[in-house]
Amino acid sequence: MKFRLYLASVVVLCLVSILVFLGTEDAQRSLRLSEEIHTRTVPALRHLEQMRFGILRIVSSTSELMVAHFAGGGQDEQRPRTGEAVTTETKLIEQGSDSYRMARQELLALYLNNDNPAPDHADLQAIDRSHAELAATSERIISLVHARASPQELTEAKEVFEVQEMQALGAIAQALGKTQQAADAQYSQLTLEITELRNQTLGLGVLAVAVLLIYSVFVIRLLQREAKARQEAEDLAAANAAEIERRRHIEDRLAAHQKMEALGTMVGGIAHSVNNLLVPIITLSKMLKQDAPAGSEQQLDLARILASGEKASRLLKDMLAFSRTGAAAPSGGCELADCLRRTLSLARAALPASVELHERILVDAAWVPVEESEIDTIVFNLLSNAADAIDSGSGRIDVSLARVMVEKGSAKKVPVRLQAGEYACLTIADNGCGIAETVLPHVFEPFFTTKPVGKGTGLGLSVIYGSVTQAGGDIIVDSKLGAGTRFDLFLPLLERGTAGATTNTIENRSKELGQATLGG
Amino acid sequence: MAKLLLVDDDADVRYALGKYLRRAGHEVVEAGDGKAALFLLKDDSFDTIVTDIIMPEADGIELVMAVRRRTPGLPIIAISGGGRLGSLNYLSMAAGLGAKIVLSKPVDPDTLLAAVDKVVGHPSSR
Repeated sequence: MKFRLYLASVVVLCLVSILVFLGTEDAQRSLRLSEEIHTRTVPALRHLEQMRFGILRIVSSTSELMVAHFAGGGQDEQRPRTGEAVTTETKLIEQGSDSYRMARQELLALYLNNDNPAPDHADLQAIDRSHAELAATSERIISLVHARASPQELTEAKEVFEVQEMQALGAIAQALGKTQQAADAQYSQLTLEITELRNQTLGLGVLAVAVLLIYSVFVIRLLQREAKARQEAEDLAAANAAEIERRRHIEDRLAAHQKMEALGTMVGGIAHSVNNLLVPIITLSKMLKQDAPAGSEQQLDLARILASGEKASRLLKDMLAFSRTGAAAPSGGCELADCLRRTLSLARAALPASVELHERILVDAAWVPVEESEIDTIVFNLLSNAADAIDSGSGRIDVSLARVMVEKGSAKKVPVRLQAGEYACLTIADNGCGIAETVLPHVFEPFFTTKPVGKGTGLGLSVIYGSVTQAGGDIIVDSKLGAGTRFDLFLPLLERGTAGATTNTIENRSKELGQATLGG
Repeated sequence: MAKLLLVDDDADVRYALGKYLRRAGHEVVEAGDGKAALFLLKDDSFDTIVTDIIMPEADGIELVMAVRRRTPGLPIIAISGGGRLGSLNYLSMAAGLGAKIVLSKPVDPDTLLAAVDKVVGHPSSR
């Protein structure tokens, strides 16, 4: 692509340079031609004029001489022309001849240099001849005057002179006319040539502009094509990146789920073993405590052992909730919208005054396979976390409930593990401090906590995770440091009929178990 | 005062719960697993059975089912420490199969005592 552009640029530049050079050459030629008009014809005309001037001097001097002679002589013989005066006239006539000759010399020189077509040789000869005759007659008149010739003779000579004067001036005029004509012809020819050259130059200019235009269009199209290709490549890269990102996201989430499953198995196993270990601790310490003297140190110590054992027992219950083999009563279901309203009205009182709680429940009846007590735990835990995240100053927590349709391979914001179907989506979002990117993947792991020692067990979110996944749902957590955190809990919706049936069964069982749930 | 069959594979659990129940005045016979319990049930009669669920050799679920078949009136108190075995909830399973009361480990001994008094105080058949 670049090489082609480079090559085209070189070719175009060469072409335009040649055109410009040719144009300049034409302009120079037209300049030279116009100069030639000047150098050829104008001096020729000037010289001819000078020659005429010479002839006119001869004519005028001779005429003056004759006039003076006739005026003084003729009848009045007493006033003859002095030799001095005649000499002066002669000198003047010679001067005229001299200037004629000089001009003629220059005209000839012009011929030699310039090959001037006009006046032609015959014209020049005619002028020369008439000049020579005129000069000769002029000299005869002078000598006649000098010799005091009879007026008869002088008048004859004068008539001859006048004829010759006419001839000489006529020849000059003819030559001048011809030269002027030639100059005009030459000029019009040159004008034609120059016009032609100008047209050529103009043509070359237009051609150069056209070449540049075509070249520009070519370059623009080339650049457009290149830009398009680049854009396509970028789009492709972006699409690839998005696909890779999507797959990575799915893989990450699957890996996270596998990790949680493994953790669940482990935690369940540990809890089972530790529960067995706790039975003798609690039972025997309780027994010994009852046996010990009331108020004795021994009894107090045993009370402490018992309390620790019971604390451990509660901890294990939470762990088991996470591991999904909850030792609690069998899971039934509840109507989420009502349950959420009740829980939120209780929770509102527990939240700091600086925290705004907004609820948006867009569902009338949403039966989900989760116990009401579990919903309480979930909502209280998440609200408490949100309030902790808001910490300083004022903040807001948004709780919303909506129905969502999950389809395979649908939006990115839906957990990959869910079966296709309808879900209730419970969202709890805060504008608190957010969760660091490095921390986010671990939030559901049991005993993982960022709270100070003694403030949190690290089981809150694990328990929520256990409850939700046990019910066939899933959780998405989104967080940005400094902007807030959002939990989306997806719980499968039970069909209304089924939900009712389930509730009935549960109620029956609750009655049945009512007696059983004594203290446990 | 009742006669109990206490079934648990953990000897320490048996010892502690047994001692507590005995101290409360009950007669307690212990068995290490479901098989042993069934063996004892052949020759002896009890007011109630207190059994763990997850045990080696015939677990609590099998025991509950066998007791239901043989002596339908004998009340059973099932206790489990939980433990992850698939997504099955053993306690709810035991309840579904007819365990009268289900309790989760570590069970509070007084709660167990109250449960025993309850089932023994109102024996459905004896």
